Amino acid sequence: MSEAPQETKRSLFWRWYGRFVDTLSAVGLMLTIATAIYCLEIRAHYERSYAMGVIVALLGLAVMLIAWAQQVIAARDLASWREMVELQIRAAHRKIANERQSSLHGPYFEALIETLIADMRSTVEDGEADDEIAR
Amino acid sequence: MTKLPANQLGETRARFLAHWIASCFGFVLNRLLPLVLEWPAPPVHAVFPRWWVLLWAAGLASIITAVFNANLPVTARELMKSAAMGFAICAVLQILGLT
Repeated sequence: MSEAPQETKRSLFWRWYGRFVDTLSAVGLMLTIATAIYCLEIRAHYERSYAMGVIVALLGLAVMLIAWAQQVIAARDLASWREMVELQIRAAHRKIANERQSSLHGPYFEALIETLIADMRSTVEDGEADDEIAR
Repeated sequence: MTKLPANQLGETRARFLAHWIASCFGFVLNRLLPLVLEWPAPPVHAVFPRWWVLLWAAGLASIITAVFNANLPVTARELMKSAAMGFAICAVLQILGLT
């Protein structure tokens, strides 16, 4: 992920539309999976061995939900990590802005802090790359 | 190691797995849906595969879906698309008389 997707402001209508479609597709997905398992269950009435198929389907459903949760957790972790680093960078910028007004504004400190910020940014990018590898 | 382009999410194991399983559900649904419509009277001439044959067919056919969809995020919307693709692959195979 070289460039994180930026969070854009959306109007209330589009936010609710997105939620509506998300809910609709979640219901559709649940119906699809529930019907498939129900079909397997009906088939098990005719052919006893299909009970094993039902069990496999339930296991598959569990695995799918775990993978889903893993993705959600990873995305949330990445978001909170990025938020934290952005907070630190903003704090550093504020510090520089304050120090420029005061007596402590030698080019040495500016260079030092700029370097620190650049270093932190590259660390974030490396962390993202590591996250990608870890996932 | 080269970086991903900005407009892509990249494949991960969890994404591959989730879309693969969703596609399997779509495949199985297409194959067994007549059972729901005919219940409780058994469909007379319908022939159904053994459960392991059905499972293997779904798994193999769904690899196509997983390969194409593994870089989609794991959300209900995207999983719906995977399930629909599994359903469609099963329909194509039935039309071709392969299942």
